[in-house]
Amino acid sequence: MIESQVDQLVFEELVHERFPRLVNHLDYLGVQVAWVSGPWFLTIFMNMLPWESVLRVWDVLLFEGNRVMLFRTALALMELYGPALVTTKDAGDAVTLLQSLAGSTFDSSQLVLTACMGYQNVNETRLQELRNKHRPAVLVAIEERSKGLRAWKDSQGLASKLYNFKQDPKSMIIETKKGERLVDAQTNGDLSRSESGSTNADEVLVSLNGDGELDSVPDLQEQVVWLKVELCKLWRREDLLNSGSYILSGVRAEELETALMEMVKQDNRRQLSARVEQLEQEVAELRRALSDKQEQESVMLQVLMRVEQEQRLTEDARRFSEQDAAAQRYAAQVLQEKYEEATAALAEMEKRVVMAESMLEATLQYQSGQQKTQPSPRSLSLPVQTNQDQTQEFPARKISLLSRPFGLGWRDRNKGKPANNEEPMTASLSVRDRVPLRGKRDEWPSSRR
Amino acid sequence: MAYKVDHEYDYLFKIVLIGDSGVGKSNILSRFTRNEFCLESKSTIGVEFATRTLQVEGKTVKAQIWDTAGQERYRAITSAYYRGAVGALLVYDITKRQTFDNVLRWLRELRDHADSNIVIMMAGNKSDLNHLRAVPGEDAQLLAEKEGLSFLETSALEAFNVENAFQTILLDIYHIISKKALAAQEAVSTTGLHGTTINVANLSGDMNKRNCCSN
Repeated sequence: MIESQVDQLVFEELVHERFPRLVNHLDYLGVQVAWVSGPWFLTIFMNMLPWESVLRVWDVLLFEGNRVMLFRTALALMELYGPALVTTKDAGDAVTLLQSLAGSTFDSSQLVLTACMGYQNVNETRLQELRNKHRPAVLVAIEERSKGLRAWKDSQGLASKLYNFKQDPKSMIIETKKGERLVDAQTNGDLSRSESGSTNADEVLVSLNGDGELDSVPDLQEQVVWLKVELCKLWRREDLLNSGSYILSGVRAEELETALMEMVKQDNRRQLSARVEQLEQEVAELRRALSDKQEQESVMLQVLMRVEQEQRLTEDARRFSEQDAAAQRYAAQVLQEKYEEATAALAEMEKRVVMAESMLEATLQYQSGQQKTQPSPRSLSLPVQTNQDQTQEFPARKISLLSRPFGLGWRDRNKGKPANNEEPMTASLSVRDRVPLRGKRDEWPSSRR
Repeated sequence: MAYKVDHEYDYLFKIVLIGDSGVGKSNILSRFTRNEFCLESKSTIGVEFATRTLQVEGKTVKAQIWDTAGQERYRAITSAYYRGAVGALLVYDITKRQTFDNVLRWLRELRDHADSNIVIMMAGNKSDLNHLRAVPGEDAQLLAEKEGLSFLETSALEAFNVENAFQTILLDIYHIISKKALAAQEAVSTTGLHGTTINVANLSGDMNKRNCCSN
């Protein structure tokens, strides 16, 4: 019956998951779903559903070979009749309604279809998980119950019970005072007692077997000893009173004793098997705990691995960003260098411009000086020629860089007209940065490098 | 309060039937509520209900009787079964000594799970089988006095004392309730509120949630 109780808890959880509103209502009314579903499961819906529906359910059940269909059918019934149940106003109505509605589920196709199609995720593995989850609670409850029962049995006292049975049941009155019993026993006819002795012992045995399921009397040995003492007392008194009946009562006592020994043996066996069962349960529990631990461990390992991976990723990212930063720093440095170079070049160029200007001035002065001194036409024509050659050569090479006015100004100036002298000067100044000056051109690349 | 909405009854009492398997609880129930008796009845699994409305001292009382499996192996199913019960009919079989011996065990179970003020009636059923009697009426009477229970011998087959047993329980419960109602009424009247109807509603509502006898 343990598994049946476990199944009920599993079913309650499933119902709670599927029909929270219905469960709330039933809780409010004080109804346990198990009161109704328990009999459903135990009888496999026999006498609970119409015959045809029962057969349809059994068909699926036998085909599948497990208890899944029980859960599915019960869930389908809850689905079909849940709306009606929610309207009930007291516990009795709810239970009676559910029972009677289940009994009127004549549309077997609808029931089986709802059960099989609607609850496909209720499968054996899921049920097994839920069972494992709920089983410990049931075991604990049963353990408590049997403990309570044992305590009660102990308080009753086996010996007094035996004594009650030793007497003719018809003349028995419930009493626990053993002294009175003894006297009472004595006054009874010895012969009748010895006759009924063996049969009564059997009765005791039977009655003990009857409720022995949960009964493991721990102090049985003590009671046996006590009984023996009592028996001895009885013998002595009987001996004194009636020596003739001594043998008979001795025989009876022996019979009782053998019966007792058998009982003790049986009880020991029962105790042992109960103990074995308990140990097995403990082992199963331990194993379960172990597997749980292992699972936890593996999960932890996975988590650790994931964390490590993440760490590695972040590390990589950090390294990349560092490299990036270094690259950027390097680029910045290069830029800075270039900038410095450029400024240096600029400064140099400016210097050169100044130099060129001074040179230009010097040539201008020289030219004007020559003009004044009237040089020979040959010497005059030659420099002009070379000048013109250069200017012609120049724009051809750097046409894109040179502006028109400059070239014109340069030519105008070379023509040597004094009135125009100022104009070309300013033009040449405005573009001085770009002007590679005569005579200096060859030096530039070497200085740059 | 939901119980007072339809004014079919003044009180609703929950009564549980307990006792060993096979003593005739289900037949006592069917005899009381439907006046039926079934010789081939099967053992009860789970919980069954039946209600019957009757008059107690001019008040309409609805008795909601819960019948459960007596077999030990179904016990865990029925542990929540005592919640809200105000009366219990503890049945044994006069032809089976064991069922009488177990009465103490059932009393213990009631003490463990039910309200401490629950009204208990012990019924020795199958009194029609007097020739097979294993429990003398005097023994039962002694035990009943010792444990403070009411006691009757009944026969569901002959419809003997069944009605009487339930009537007695309901009357006892009613007396306890009305005593409490009176006390509550006095308490309310001192505070200056008019209260008869309110009290009744409170009490019957109370009963569904918890045991009214407890307060």
